[in-house]
Amino acid sequence: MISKEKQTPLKWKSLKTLYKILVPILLWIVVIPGAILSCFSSREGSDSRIICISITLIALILIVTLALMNRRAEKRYGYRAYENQFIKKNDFKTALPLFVMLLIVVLPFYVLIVTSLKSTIEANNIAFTWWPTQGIDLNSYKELFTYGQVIGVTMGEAIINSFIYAIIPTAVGLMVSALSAYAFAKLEFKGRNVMYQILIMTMMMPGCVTMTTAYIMYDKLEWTNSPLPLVVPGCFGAATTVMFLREYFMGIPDAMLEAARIDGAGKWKCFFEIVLPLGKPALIAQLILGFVSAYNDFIAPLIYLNEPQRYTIQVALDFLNGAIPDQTLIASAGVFSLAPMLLLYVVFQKRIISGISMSSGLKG
Amino acid sequence: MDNCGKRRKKTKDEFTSALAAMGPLVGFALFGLVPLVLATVVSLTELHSTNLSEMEFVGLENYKTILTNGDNRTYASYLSTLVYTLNVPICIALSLFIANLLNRIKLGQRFFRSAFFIPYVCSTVVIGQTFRVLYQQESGVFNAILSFLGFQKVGWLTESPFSFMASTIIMVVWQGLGFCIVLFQAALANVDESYYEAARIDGASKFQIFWKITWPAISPTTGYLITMKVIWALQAMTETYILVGPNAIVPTWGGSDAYVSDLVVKHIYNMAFMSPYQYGYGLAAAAGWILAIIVFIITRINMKSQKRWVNYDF
Repeated sequence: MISKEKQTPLKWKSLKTLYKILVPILLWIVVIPGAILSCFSSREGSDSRIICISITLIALILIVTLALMNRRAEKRYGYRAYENQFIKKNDFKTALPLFVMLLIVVLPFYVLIVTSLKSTIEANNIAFTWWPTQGIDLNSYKELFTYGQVIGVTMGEAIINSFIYAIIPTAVGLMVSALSAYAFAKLEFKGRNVMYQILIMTMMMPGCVTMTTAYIMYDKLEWTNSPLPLVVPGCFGAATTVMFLREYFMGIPDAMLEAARIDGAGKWKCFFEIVLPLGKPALIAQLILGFVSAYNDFIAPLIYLNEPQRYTIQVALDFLNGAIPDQTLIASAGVFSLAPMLLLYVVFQKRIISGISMSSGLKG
Repeated sequence: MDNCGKRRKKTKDEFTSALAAMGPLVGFALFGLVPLVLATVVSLTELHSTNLSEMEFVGLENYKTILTNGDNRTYASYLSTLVYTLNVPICIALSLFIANLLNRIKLGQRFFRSAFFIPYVCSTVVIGQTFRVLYQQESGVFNAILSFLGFQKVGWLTESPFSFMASTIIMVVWQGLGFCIVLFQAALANVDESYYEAARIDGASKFQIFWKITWPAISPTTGYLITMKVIWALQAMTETYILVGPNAIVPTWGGSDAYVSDLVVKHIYNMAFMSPYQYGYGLAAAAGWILAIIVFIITRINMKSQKRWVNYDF
């Protein structure tokens, strides 16, 4: 059979090489640094800035031209010089809404970070600017550790408070919950089912009822000026965690524990040497999720902490906002308080996401 | 099942096992049950300080006050909460749409999912403060975008009760999407591909495929999300608390003195702790119980109705 396809002219073939070399170079070495430089260069209207912008624009135009030529080549000869894996494999119509969504998700973070980098004068200016036109000013980040007169605590101290109040109840509570989950999953004792039913029922208790009277109780215990109301209740574990871990521990084969038992291991040895190591993924997921939610908690610290030295970062942020009308300082405090969580998320992303879908108790 | 104790000394062994299981229950008895009983007792009295000896027994008066002749603020707080709860269906519909798209793209799925999930690990305080800046009338980003597109600037948080609530809902949906997307994506990935193939061979339309296969197959997830998110939404307070911020102008419902931003839990908080409206712990506890009962009833209705449309056999 004779192929009906027109032969691809050499002109188009050489496009491929051009594309493969030129586009990445232009994109990564010229366009992106150029864009960043022209955004952040110190003075508006200076020569270097104009040069930066024009070079970036020329490079962008080149890339667009190449892309258009590429498209034409494909239309005419069914020959594509350069293929982007993302575009090749994905349907454009499907990907577009996702990109829009991505922009929407990123926008507040972008504004937060950019505001924190602006100088105080610019950030509090009425007109909004998309980048620090007066140059990057990191002074507000320094102030996080030095400026604490108005609210009585610096952000650096507050974040340490936050860590302490979050990590103790999460870690201790997780161990207690794990022990309880092991007992409910693998040990036999009288009233096990009744106790488990009661535990499930405790989850239904809404926090809105106890919010006010818990304060009275802690006041009677003289705990209201200390972090104890935040730390101690959490140390007893949580019913949701028990439920989730029990489900997970049930999946550990009985034969394994039986074998250990024959070798002379007691039930506690079974727990520490078989169940805990095998349950590690679930435990780590719960630890991180528990830590994140304890760190981000706002209402309980707001109610119980009265001394400024004990404020957690969330409460300190709220008070800072009320005390100082300086947007840069507030924004950099926000970035500062988000940073540990984002770092945690980047490192443990897989565990957090699988932990979320596991703890909903749905398959999958 | 009885694997760790074939030759056990029965009673002692059982006792230690039960003790191990007790942890969370003891915690609940100490820090959950005591305030719960206290709330029940206090809700029947009038109390203006943490000194319990000042309690004056008034019977069901507090409940009656709230239900029959409560002031504007009480009713308005329920109205606000009701409007706020609208974020649940919006969030679920949008996240289902996005999860569906995510499952259809072949490259970059995990990248998008990870990006959308970021707001979940961020604190509501920072997100609220950031959004408040975004919503500002003169210097806010949203208004900058609007005026760039040629629209008039909008007072997102100050113009009217509904603009305030819409702004709140936008923020809450933005924050809650990641959680729903992750669950929906897991559910969608679990649907057996052969159902879709069979349907396609039979010539079913896209809409039919979604409605007859996808929707029932993911209904347990949808049901779970609706139940949980409604419970959370009814007891929310931080979101509006932060969005209002310090001494900002908050719209009021219909010209009354009731702030839109006061959701029920915020109203309870005000009653107990905020000095200008100190109605006392008695009323606050009663209001707490009433909200708890409402949450319970709504959850009940939710579960009952889900028996009809949630399908566990897929």
